[in-house]
Amino acid sequence: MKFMNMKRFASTVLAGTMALSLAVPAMAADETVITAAYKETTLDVTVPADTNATINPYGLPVTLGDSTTVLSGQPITIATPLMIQNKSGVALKVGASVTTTVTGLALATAENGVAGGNAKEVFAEFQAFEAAGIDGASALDPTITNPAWAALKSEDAALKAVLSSTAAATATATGADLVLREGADGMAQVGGIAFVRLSGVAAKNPTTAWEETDKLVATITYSFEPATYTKSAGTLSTPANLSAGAGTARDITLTLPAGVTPNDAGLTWEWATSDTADVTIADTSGSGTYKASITPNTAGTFTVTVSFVGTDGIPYTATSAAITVAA
Amino acid sequence: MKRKRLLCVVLALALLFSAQSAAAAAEAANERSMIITATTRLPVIEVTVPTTGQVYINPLQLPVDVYGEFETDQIISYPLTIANKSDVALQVDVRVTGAVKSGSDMTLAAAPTNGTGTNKSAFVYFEMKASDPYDPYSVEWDEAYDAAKHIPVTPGGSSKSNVVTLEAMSMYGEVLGGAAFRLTGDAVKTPTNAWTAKDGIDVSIAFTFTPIPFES
Repeated sequence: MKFMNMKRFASTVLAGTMALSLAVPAMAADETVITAAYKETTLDVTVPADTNATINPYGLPVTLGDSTTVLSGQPITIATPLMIQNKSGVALKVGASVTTTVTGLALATAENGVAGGNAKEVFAEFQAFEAAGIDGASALDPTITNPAWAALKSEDAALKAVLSSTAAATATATGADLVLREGADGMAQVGGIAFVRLSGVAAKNPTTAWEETDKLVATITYSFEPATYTKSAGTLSTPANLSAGAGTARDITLTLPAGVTPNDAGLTWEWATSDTADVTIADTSGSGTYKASITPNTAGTFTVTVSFVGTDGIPYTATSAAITVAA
Repeated sequence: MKRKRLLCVVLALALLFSAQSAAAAAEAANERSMIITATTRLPVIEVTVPTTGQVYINPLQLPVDVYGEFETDQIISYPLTIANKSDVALQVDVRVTGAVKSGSDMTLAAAPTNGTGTNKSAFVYFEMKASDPYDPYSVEWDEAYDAAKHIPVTPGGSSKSNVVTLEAMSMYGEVLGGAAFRLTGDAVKTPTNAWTAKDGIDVSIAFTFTPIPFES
């Protein structure tokens, strides 16, 4: 038999080497092989279906589906409450990006001057709001959702994006992030639903009159990231004149927001400090007063965080301003 | 030939993969999207306006039967109404133009005559007030001419903006916005050239309606 040529020989050697290199881990008896693969998590979140809105320069009244709620004076009107519902097992931070095309009108970049201006333009804003007090069941009841929808005020929006026809508009939070509470039993809980809408101002009497063919089309892409859902527990006092050492305990008191009631003050309170080594803290709440006693052992600064669950089942938390301890 | 087929297959696969990746890029697993299409809604402007009316020049203040009541004013007209059947409130601007009838030697005065003078002249002015849409007799008319509110009838025409505001029709179709108007004034009682049946005027009244946006 003729010996194989040099190229075949080299190929055989290489193939053998590769086979052995693959076989080594399998032959090593005392090693663990962990295979990591991306697993896609399906978020159980629903967003509104494609819908129609009205550019309504004269704010003509629109009656919602319950036949009693009337939207009047809104330059951009949507006659059906639009809701995002989080039914997932995790709380989700909401983001949004809006691309817009327009026909026959221009989009203004600022609200001032649009209503009384001569240009046929609209200042349009995407807005998202937490749908307070509405859960998956009540979201089906128009006698609840319609009045809530009609009562939305632009200044209360948690997320806003000014629509532009030249670039995608990314929504920004006006305060804390808009986080939708995790769902339960496949339904959205209170805190897990957000209203979304377009709102804005339209020129009332532009030089070039409005026509029914004037329109805008906004494509809204929502993004969702796992997050922690909490609501503000109110304001914590900032104790003064603290000095290090025993016998210098001071009270720190929580002032609750209107309408928030701790579910069980004795059981659900959690007080914590940012300096767990040098500050001790103990709940001293009672008789409708929510407070804790803090004792700093060394000089420095720290913060206090309080958490509890409200009677509405929502987790609340508040963090104090920096508290200074003198030496 | 084989090479061409291979090339086609490769290209087709490449297109397929690129299309799939584009779709995936359009909406990731943690994204959802929706489209809002906003079209423009315009108000429907519909106002009932009378096409004709009558005015009498009655210099000697003889009693004239107006719907069963005897009037003795020097300028007498049957009040008329306009009714707003629009879904929006309207601002009403008015332009009034007068013309002396052919064959008459009377003139239209630009200011009240107070019944005195020797020229055959009449001062006629337009007055309008918000009213029941269908009852012009429910209006309390002003006692005297007021240049701030009334429009004199002149050959060249006179205008006034925002004379009245007509309320929008209710959501249930009820007409709420109406306004009554009339022509009134005075005339020289005994001019040198006596009044005759040939004397008279034609008055054209043009209304302009401007929608008033609803306030939120």
